Amino acid sequence: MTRLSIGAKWTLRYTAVMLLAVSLLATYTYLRIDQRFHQDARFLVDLQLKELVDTLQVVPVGDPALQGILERSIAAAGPDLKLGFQVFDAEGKLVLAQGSLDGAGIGLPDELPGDLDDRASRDVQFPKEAGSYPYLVLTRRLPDGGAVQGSVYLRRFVRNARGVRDIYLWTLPLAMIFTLALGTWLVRGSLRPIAGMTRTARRISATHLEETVPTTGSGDELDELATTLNQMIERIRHSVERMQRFSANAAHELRTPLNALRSRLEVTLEQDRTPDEYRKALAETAEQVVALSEAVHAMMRLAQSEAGLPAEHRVPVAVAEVLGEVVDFFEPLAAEQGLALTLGRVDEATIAGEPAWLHQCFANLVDNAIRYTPEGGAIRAELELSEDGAALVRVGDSGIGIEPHERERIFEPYHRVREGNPRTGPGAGLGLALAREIARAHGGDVTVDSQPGRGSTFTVRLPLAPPA
Amino acid sequence: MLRILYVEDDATAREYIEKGLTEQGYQVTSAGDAQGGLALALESAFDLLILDVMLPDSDGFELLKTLRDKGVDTPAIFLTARSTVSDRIRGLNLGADDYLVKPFAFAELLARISAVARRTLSEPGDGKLGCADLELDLRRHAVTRGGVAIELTPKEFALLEYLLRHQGQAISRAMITEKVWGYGFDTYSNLIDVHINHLRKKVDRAYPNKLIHTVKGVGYVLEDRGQGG
Repeated sequence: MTRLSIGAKWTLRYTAVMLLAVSLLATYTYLRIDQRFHQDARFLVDLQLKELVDTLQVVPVGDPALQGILERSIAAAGPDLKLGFQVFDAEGKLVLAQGSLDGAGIGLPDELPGDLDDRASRDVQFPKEAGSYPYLVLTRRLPDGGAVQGSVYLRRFVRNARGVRDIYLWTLPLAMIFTLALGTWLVRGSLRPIAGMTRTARRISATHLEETVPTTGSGDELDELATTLNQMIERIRHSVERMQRFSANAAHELRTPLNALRSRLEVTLEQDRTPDEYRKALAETAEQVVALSEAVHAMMRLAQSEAGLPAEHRVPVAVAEVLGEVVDFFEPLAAEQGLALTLGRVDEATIAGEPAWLHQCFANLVDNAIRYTPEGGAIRAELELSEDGAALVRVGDSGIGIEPHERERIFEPYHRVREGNPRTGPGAGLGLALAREIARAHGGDVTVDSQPGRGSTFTVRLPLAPPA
Repeated sequence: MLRILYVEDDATAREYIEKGLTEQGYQVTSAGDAQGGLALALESAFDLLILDVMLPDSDGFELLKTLRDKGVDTPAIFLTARSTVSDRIRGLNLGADDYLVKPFAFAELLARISAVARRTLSEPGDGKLGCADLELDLRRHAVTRGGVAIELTPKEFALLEYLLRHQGQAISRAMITEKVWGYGFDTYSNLIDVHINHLRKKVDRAYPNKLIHTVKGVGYVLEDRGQGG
């Protein structure tokens, strides 16, 4: 089957349904009208027969006046109706025939009506008029045991009914054309905004992400679609920007140590050296390569968490347990640096997540706190269950704090402008970015509160219900 | 001599790793693609498989699956440049014994190889692990040295148990993070030094015969090197 546009499909469907409905209506109407005309014909003959029965009370069959009366009745009805009459005696013998029934060779029906007031009705094709319309023949019994029959030519009635049918047959194609036109117009009109959206979406590429799909503000389904598309474009724009920034930073992060490595190797190879010198150069380059490897590992971890956490990798995680382990893990390091790392209030909270990632997230925050808190300071980790159904993990320190304008930027990969950062080299500068990406992969986020000179508190918000 | 089958498509890496492993006394056979690896693995017996996940004709997962289906249950270590959670889970589900993400330290690979090669460690019948005069009782969860009780935190106990089970064998920091702390991320493997130092203080400091030794470039080993070793 060839492909049809949605518009064509719906127009065709709409037309087909309309056509079916109209055809059914037309057929029904025709059948009903046909039936009504037939009833009319029967009523007409019935009246004539009644009159004949009444007449026979006063004018016997043998009376020549009867013939005249009947002829007048036939003439009065007109040549079109072709009335006819027959009278039978008690033995069923035809004693009088007039009009269309004269010489038609029609006898009595096999079964006469049981009651005097009953009638037997037949549609009969007269042999002498083959190919034409049938006659309606009505039979009535006489009180003396005989019977009378009357007939009417049905041409007029059948034609009337067929006239109505023909009107339908003529108007049906017209109705179809009208329906098609109307359907096309309606569907086109309602789909026109979609065509616009398609054009915009087609134009949008990685380089044209500033465009948006026009919205009408009407709040209807299409407007909703346009808004959703715009939100999607916005998200794509954000991730493309972040990706570009990330690759630029990553390239820079790798270029510097690679450059040092290259120089060292090239200088070493420049002239003959003692085995000790070679050994030293190799050992140093090996060290730098290890550092580079770590940088790559860190980038991979960040890329992984940015890719999100598929539902099938989520397991129920007791957040308190993970936080406790992280504090246990870091406590010896903190103690060595003269810091008190303690676990404060810890509520019970279970979320659907990836334990190793959460461990990494909390570890990065604790590590960050240890790094920026001078000797003698204190770090406190706690877990609170919020009223709106989220686990809030807080890591607070009494460290150097963060200036307000830095508070968002510290979460950017490789952002390392904070003074007094004791750790440099590749791989550093991703800790907070990774913590935030992990929280986001769990449907949450990491935020920071800080008073410069007095300390910072990082809060990881993890919704208990998994994100959709 | 341990026979290793090494399947890796990168010729440079294959050459150097093979050289390194041979120098360490392993008997190494290598293949550059899954088909070659499969043929070799079915043709002769190996003690260990080292499989790169990304191979030109198939992947290491498929290769291992085929081998497992054919009843080959040789221990396997995966090497991979990808380290997504799903890859790691898939590898371990297929019955891989370890999973190493590139780039890795050669010493790290050696440590994993010896750990996997000696996986057939049996549970001590009396529930006790020991080295020299150090004794760890798994049932009573107690540690003594020369008959004197040593108090350990649960994590220190787990760390000591791990070292004792692998005594005489160099253990990397990443292995300790993974096996004792149970996390695959290795950012803070340097923190293991701090934990080892705490353990040393309790287990070794008061005794002339040190049992926990640093292995340069790798990590640690627990072994009895005799008095003052």
